Amino acid sequence: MKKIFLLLALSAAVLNAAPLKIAENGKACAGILIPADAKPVTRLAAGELADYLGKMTGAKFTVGTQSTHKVNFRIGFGDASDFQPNEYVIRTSGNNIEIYGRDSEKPFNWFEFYHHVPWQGSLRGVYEFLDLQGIRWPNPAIEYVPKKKDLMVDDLDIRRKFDFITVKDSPTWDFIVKTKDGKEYAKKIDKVYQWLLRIGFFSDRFHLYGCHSEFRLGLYKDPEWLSDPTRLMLGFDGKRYNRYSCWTHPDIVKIWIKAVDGYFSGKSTVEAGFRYIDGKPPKGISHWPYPFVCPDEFMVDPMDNTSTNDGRCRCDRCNQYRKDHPCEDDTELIWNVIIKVAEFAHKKYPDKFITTLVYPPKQQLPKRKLPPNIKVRICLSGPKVGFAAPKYFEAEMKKIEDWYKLTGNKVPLWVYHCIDFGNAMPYLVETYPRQIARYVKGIRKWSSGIYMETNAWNGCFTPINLDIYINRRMMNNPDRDVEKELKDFFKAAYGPAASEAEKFFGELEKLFADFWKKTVPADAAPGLVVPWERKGYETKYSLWTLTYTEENLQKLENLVRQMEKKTAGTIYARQVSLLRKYMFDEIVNARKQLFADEAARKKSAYTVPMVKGVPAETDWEKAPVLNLRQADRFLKTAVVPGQFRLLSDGKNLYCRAELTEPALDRSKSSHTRSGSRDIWHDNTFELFFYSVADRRLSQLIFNDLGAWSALVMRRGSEEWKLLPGVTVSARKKTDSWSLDITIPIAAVLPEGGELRFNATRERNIKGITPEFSTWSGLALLGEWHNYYKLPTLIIR
Amino acid sequence: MMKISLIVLCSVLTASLWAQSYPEELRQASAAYKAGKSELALEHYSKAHRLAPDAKARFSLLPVQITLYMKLKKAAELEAFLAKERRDESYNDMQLRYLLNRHAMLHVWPKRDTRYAMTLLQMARMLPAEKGTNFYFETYQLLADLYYGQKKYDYVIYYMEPLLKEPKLHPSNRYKTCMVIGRSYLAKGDKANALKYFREALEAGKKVPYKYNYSEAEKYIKGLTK
Repeated sequence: MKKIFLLLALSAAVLNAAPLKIAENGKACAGILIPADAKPVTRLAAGELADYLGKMTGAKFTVGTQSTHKVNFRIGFGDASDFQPNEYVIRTSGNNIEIYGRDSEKPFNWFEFYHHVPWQGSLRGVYEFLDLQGIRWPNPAIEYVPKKKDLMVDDLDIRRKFDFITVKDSPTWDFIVKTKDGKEYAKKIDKVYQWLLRIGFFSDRFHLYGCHSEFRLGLYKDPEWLSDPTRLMLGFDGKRYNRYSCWTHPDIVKIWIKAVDGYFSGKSTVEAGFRYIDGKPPKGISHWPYPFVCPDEFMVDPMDNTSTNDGRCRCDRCNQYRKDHPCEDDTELIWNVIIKVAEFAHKKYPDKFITTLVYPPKQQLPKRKLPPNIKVRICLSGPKVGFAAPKYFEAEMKKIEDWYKLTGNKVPLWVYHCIDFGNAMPYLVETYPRQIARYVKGIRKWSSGIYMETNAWNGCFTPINLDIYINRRMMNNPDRDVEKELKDFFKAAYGPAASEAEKFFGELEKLFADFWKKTVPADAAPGLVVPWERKGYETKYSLWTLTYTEENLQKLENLVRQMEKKTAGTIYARQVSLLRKYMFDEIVNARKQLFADEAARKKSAYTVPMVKGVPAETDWEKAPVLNLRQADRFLKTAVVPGQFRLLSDGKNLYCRAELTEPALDRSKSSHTRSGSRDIWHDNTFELFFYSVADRRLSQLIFNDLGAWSALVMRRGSEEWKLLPGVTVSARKKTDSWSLDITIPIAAVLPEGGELRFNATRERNIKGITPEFSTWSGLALLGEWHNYYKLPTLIIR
Repeated sequence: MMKISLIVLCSVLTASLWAQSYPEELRQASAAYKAGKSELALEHYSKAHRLAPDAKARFSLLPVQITLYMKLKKAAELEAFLAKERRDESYNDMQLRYLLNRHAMLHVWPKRDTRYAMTLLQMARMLPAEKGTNFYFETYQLLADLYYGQKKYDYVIYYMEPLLKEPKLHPSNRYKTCMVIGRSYLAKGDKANALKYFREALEAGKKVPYKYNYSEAEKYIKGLTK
């Protein structure tokens, strides 16, 4: 059954033949009537209507219980007693325009009505009417109001009931303090709630609120509960985890039944026996703390799992249960508890529901029949699934349908629009309004709404503004044409630069798809939060080499410049400046910072002079001298001079170092044999080689006695070894020492490709603070192992 | 006869495999641990470690294994164990960072080979990590300890100050970061900056959601504002 229905019944007998005149030549031709005992939200609705009609026409519209005008808006007069939340009517009748829905008696404030009060039908009707007049609110800071000195209203007969009853995303009570650009959009949080209400409000408080309620019960602090450790999850490591329960322990059903009974019977948490419960009850909302705030629902949901704890108990009883009830995860095991709790609740509180998330470790459909009082929220990848192979989109839709059929209720979803979660992929702008529209249309038959988890992109709202707006608009009415919505958004937010803004965001959407295509295998699952299996540096780095390339960013820069030019001196200039400051410049600066070192590193590449065979003295004389410099970034003092030369015959690298040392007799060197791993306590000269192909860093350490050793490092491990073919001879003079080193190139570059290099010196002389010098000005002390700072050595 | 021998052989093999199953070893390890039999517990945990089904399971055993090695004062064995584990390619970057941190710690407290500790920590730094997490913080905390011990206060500040920009840094880690920066400024003779960081530390210490001792910050503030 369609939940959204829009009736435009044209009946000549009922409706006016001629449009109603609202304003003419900047003068009001209509009044706004409210009942004498109008509810606060009804008054607000009328006020909003008067305000925006005034902004449109330039006329002054008055709100009252009487009117001298022939044409009148009548707000909140109709009978809406059987209406659902957010259901409303907009209807022309004679000379009247009736707008009404079921309105709350509560005093109005933006916070309350955003979070807790769904009964605001008249307000919703007014916003729909204003939307029909072309008014748009792209974000809390800007609105688009078309100017019409003459305003006529055609016949209207709309009664709307929403497909979706719950929509939520991240802008919330801490929006202003949590986002870098929050204050640019709103000085007070009420303005944010106002915006969200205007673009489509859906209360989530009464419908599967919260998550991981096990933790919230505070059992981990309850001495009585903890007195029997077998009630707690047994981890891989044989340890009991007090924030997780063993879901096959007989007491787990009892404790949840106790909680459900206590909550639905109206007892306080203390009266119900949960004195250690986390948090305080929100005043006027619930007698229990969050997430136990839905009057008709109680959430029974396990604690969240982490990267090191999958939340699954490994006790013998749980293992046996898994053997007896084979299942991919712990769906059967956990549902066994939830079903028993729900059966209890169904008998004692037949009109109440037990809720839970479909989330790891219980993501499957339970094989057992569920009691009728079960509701679930399914955690899914969400609209980004559109970038993965089509089968994943189909699988998500099928999953929603399956749960709908299993529970008999439309299922709300929890989807993830936060690929930078956990710093997984910072700077990649996650924007795909078209995928959002497609997803919303896809789920409408089986789902009751979405909580879209959106992270503020690098702490900024600006880049996620569009997707939040489109999500809400499409959830409000999935029949909307997303292309038209986008055009409206850009026109409203960027005025004369709408076309460039549309291209700019279109480019970003393409770049998102491009990066996905290049870094996620074609058949790979989209992942719940991110599609990348490893959140490694290489993947993050590839953003700048594969997708956010200089060329692509230049294209975006050109568009931003065009936008700046077109909006100069207009109210839209500010919006463009926010786009530049909190989005484009953030990307460009991140790239610059990353590539500044890389550019400097590339610039300092050194080409080794070639010789035929072992270099002769004449070759050494011709070879350029490479000097060592102070390596301590905080010391400005000069170091004792040291220099070296490099030569190569293509097979070997030859290095001759001349190191001034006025106190050679006090050298700390003690190793005369090569291979010691303590050699770096000696007076040393060191060579660093990084082989890019196999990500291997070789550190060769030579002392003034001619002994040497090498530390070869790869990812997290290291190995001391004598690299084959390396030879060294040391000579001491009165105030210096020198080294002649031969290194087979294959020993430090086994797979060929790029070789990075640095030479350093550590003067370890008795009675003197160790002194460090380096050849590369990039690889200073503390960064010697940082291969992103080692210059490339070119051996032709 | 051949068949009987095969059957007997298979039975013996099955029985020995069963005795060496991962859950069984875990059970025995846990029991020995609870009974205070550290040597036996370590033996079973080591077996469980070898039999663990995947890297995640192996990784989850590491803290208790490290604790037992330390308790038994088997520093050399622990060193060898950590070095071996770090060669295991199946560990992810975060797990590897943990191992490097632990290994470095052996050389930081007590100071055995600070140069080696520094190398391990620099290797840890090169691994990608979620900024602000405990393992990420730990690398820098250890680096700061090393530099502080060497009286290289500028380096302590150089490494630790950027951590404060990480919104995800736990208040207790923020407290520790501010304290070591504050002490470094104090050692440099910069009382104004020292006081600033001690105050920031106190603020962070008060935000720790559990009982937390921030009296040291209070003591420093008191001393500097007399």
